[in-house]
Amino acid sequence: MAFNQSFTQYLGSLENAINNKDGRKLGQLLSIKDAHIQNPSLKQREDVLQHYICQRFTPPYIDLVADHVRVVAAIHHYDPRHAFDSQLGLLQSFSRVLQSHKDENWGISTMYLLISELTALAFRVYYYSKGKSTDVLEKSAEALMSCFRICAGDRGGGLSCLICKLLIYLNAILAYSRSSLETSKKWGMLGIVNNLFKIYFKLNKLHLCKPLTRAINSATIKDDFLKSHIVTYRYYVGRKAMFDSEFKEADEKLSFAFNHCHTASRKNKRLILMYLLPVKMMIGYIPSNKLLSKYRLTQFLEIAGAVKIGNLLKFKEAVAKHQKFLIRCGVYLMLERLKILIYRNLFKKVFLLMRTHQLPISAFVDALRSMQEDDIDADEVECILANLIYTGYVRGYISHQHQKLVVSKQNPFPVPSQVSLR
Amino acid sequence: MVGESLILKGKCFLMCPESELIRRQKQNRLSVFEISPNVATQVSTRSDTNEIKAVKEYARPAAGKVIDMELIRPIDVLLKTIKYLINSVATRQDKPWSTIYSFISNRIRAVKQDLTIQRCKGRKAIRVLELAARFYLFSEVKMADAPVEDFDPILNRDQLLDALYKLFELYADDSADCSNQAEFESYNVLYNLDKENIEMRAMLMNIHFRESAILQHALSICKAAWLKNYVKFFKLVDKSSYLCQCAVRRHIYRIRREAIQTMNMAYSNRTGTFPIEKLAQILQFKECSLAEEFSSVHGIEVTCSQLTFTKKPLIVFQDRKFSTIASTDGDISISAIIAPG
Repeated sequence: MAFNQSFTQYLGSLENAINNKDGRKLGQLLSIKDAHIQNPSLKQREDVLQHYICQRFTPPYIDLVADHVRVVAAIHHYDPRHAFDSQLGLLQSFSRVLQSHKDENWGISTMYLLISELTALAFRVYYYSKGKSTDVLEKSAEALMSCFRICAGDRGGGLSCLICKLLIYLNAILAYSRSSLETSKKWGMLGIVNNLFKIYFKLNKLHLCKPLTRAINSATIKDDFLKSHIVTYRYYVGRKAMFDSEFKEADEKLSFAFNHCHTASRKNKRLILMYLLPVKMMIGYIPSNKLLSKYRLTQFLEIAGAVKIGNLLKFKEAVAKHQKFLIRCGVYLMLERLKILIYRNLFKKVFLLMRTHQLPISAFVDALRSMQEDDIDADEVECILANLIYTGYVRGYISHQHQKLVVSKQNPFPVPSQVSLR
Repeated sequence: MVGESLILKGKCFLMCPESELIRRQKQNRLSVFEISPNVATQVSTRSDTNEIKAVKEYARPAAGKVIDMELIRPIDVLLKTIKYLINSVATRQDKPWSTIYSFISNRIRAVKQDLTIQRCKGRKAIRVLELAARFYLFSEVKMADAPVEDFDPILNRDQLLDALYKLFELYADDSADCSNQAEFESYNVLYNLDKENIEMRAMLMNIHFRESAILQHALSICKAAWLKNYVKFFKLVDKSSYLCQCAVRRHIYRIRREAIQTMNMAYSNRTGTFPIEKLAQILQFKECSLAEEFSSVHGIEVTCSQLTFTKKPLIVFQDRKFSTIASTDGDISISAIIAPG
């Protein structure tokens, strides 16, 4: 986009994009990242610009351009809040445009861009306010939901009955959708859902993800969405599964996301790995140093190393050292659960050293005391052992009277990855 | 600030608005706690009630009705009211606790209502909500065995969560007095122990709180619970403050049951048995007989103070009486717990 264009020339390009049904171009012209926003002609007074706009466009496009102009003005005034409000207006105007498109879906490319910029602006305001302005996130979610409804074919209804309505309407679309698959706006669904996930994760309202996943899972086109959308989707679903302690599901989804993420998007691959690593460790796989170095996740190097050799002390030190990083990722508390594997590995060592199937509890107490676990006593060790037996990491039983752990002669310490997690 | 002039300010400077007092007197609907014991026998007039003792009762707000600010009490009065309720009514020995609870919880609800209408902020509002939250927590334990007519646990829980929610909103203000915030964050964390997403919440906390001993203790309890380390869990709970124990009470039964389920699998062998005393100790049962009862209702055989674990699945059972920890039993001075200092 040329820098010195006059305002009328800019409007001309917009008009062309609309007439040519060029969704991507339209998006570019409405984007705050495009060079056109530096165009000095856009810095004229608002009423002057409105005059030009009204001459050129008809509703619903008038509002679209007018709102975008407002966003640009707010950006130039370093007012993120105002920029957000105007962008929100822009998206709402665009929803009306989208709705007016019957049997055509070129608008969804524009929509993706507007949505991602809205989310970005919302997050900017949110961070500036140090996490206090959650209303921007909530308003974004609402706006995204209405786009979602348009795409999914919903003709109305409030947010409150969205859950059942989504399911009903999806079934309705599948039954008698008038638009053929090629021109359907249904393809826009996943892009919107991903942005909604982003917001819900930030708002800590993970439970709101459920109706969305249900809606996507029941869509017949669920495997045919854009690859990049599917990858992002699986990333979020995997993360949610991780928080729900469903590690097998988390492994499946996050691994898919990692494997199918474009090799060029190093940053995204790293992000996925940040969550995939603890999950893999939970089910018994230790990552290779090579992998960790490649993606600059060496924070996990020490942690993984400690888990592998069952060194509780090193584990605690490593976790404390990288506390800030782990807290930011949101995996800090989850790593606690790795302790059970550490116990398993440590106790296996004790077993191998003592070469007997009847192991005194005191041996385990000593092992833990050597890891600076000074508070630990026989009762707690029995409890840990009981849990290891219950979860299947150790095969045997405890004799309280004789203060012994009696392990099975066959495969007393099964390989963790083979043990099905309860 | 523009909004200031729109904030409603209460005009009732008594604990109970005069009009309500007169109305209730006429209807003979004064609570036993509102009637002065020093009634002069000779002259029995309608003013038997010492006006200072009447407290505004909770009434559902009528839809569409304009709020009469003459009936709303300003924050100073609200604080005075709740302090009065805790220090003078809750400590009474002459009435059963269910009656006391019923009166106080109703009156506190009215206090919260006045607070909400005026959108009170600041140190005093925080103090009011802190006292209210402590009261609800205390009641959860005190009224645990009460019949449902006297104590609705769901309502109590809703009131507690509402008070905590409002408290956290007030703490979020820049100028707020956060000296007790760690205490209430820890109650919140313990109360919601079973919700995994508390992780997010906990981790969003200010670094300052990470160094708070109270919060660290609460987090240790949570971690012990998540790792199913029942021995450590009960050890830590035993060392907790009374109100922390109240907060964690609702999870006790489940943790005990899971413990016995784990032990059932881990200790079962042909000859070995497990002493009931040990079970009582690690699961913090007040008496061995309770531990025995607990075991047998779940289908675990008890003979001569010894438990025989078999891998048989446990019988499904739920009873509130298996939720008491040894240390929360017994008489505790309520005002010391709820309004220290």
